[in-house]
Amino acid sequence: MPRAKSSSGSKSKKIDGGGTKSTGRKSKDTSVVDVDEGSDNDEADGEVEQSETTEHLPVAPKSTQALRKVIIAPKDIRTHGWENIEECQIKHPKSGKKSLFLLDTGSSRCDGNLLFEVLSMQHDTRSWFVDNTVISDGNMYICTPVDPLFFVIPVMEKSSKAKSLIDHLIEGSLPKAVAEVLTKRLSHKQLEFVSIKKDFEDFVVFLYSEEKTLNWLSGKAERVGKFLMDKGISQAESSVSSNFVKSSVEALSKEDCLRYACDIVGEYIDETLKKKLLEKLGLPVLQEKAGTKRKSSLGDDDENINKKTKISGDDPVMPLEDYGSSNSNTPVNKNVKVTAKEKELQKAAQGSHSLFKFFAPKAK
Amino acid sequence: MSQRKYVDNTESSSSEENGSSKPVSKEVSVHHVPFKVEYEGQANVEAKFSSNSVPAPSDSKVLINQFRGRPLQGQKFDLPESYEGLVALDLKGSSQLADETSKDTEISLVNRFETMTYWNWDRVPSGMDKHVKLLDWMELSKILHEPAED
Repeated sequence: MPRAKSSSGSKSKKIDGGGTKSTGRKSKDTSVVDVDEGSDNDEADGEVEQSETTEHLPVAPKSTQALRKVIIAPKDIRTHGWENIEECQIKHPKSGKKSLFLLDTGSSRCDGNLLFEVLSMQHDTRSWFVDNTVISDGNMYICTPVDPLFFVIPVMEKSSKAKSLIDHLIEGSLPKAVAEVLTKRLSHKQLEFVSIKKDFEDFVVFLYSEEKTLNWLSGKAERVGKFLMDKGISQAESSVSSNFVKSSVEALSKEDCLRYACDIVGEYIDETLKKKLLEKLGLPVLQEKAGTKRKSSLGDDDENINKKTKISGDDPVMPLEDYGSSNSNTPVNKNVKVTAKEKELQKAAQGSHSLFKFFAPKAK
Repeated sequence: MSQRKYVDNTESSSSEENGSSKPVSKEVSVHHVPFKVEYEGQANVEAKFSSNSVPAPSDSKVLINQFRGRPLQGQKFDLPESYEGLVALDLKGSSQLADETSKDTEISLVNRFETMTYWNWDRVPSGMDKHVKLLDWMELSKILHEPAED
């Protein structure tokens, strides 16, 4: 029974659920050491010294049922205390699906981040070795800060009335704990980036402002775009082999970067708002067309195709045809004549979320 | 939906570095290996794997090692300064422990690290590997999510 699989092998299927079954036949004391080498019947047999291997973990689990995961998180969280961290399921502002977030309920700090998203980086055919411990789950769970205003927008957007923040949040069915923390810790100044504040004598209400929101989003998109430009990260990156990354960097235009930035910001807002953001930044809505083209018939697309080819024309790196990805494309509508250019565009559209494909929100 | 609490046990063990015998204060060695091990728990990793890492003759930044006779190429990399790696131990379902030290809704953070080694079978880890994208994402998310100032 081979216990280790190479990444070149078939997709990993757990043989025995991560070793959980094996606990039953273990004696109680130190015998978690049914080491993987143990099944390697040629040389390693019998060489494993159990006493040596158990002393490193502060919490020495008796069974292999304990699940370990490798998390990458801001040091900031530890400084402020993990005990303040609560897991919560919040509707993702883009998809509306409940996703896992970490909420810092620590009341003492008004600065810093309140909310973190947990993204998983899938590594099906990897594992971890941490000191003398094997961790079967080779995924990486990454906690990164999220601007809480992204959660305020969809909630305020729904309401045509000016309300206090807590009312907005509760009616928008955010978990109570989240609503409370946001109310306590989001400054009025912050909220005014997406809304109009009305100050009455004893209370303050907010009314969503699309104009302000778009300004705020543009600022973010521009900062992200600049970052992508400086770092030379392009959308094409995921679809070209590493040998070509250098040359694709040279072809990066400011517009490409800004567009990619909008896609990234677009991961936190709904489609309608994203379209408006693109408009505001003076970017023709390409991605959208490329995506829907497969569904819609040609018609008015011709004009857009011309624009598209202009933009993709200055990206010399993209292969004209990519047979490798053809099966991941949804079947192309027969009525639509698929030119090489179009294929290329579809591919570009596909690659646009590359970063996020790896970091797909972990839905629970 | 139960609230799970995080308990930071990395600090308690490392704070005893003066004169304590606890070995945890040292930075743990972390390897991200390109194969799935269907086992979880203690193993003699140090002796059987970690200690065999040597720099490649051609490029001293690249480490070479082997697992079951197959060659591996690895590279050490540091997490961004503001980030750290943590090993979270979820005691859920471990009934013997539940009634002693911890509630079954507790997640214990047991190890901390800032450097890890990423291993591949057949090629030197490069910019196309996921972990490089990860580092990009960490920087990017800061820029994206930093509260606006004015």
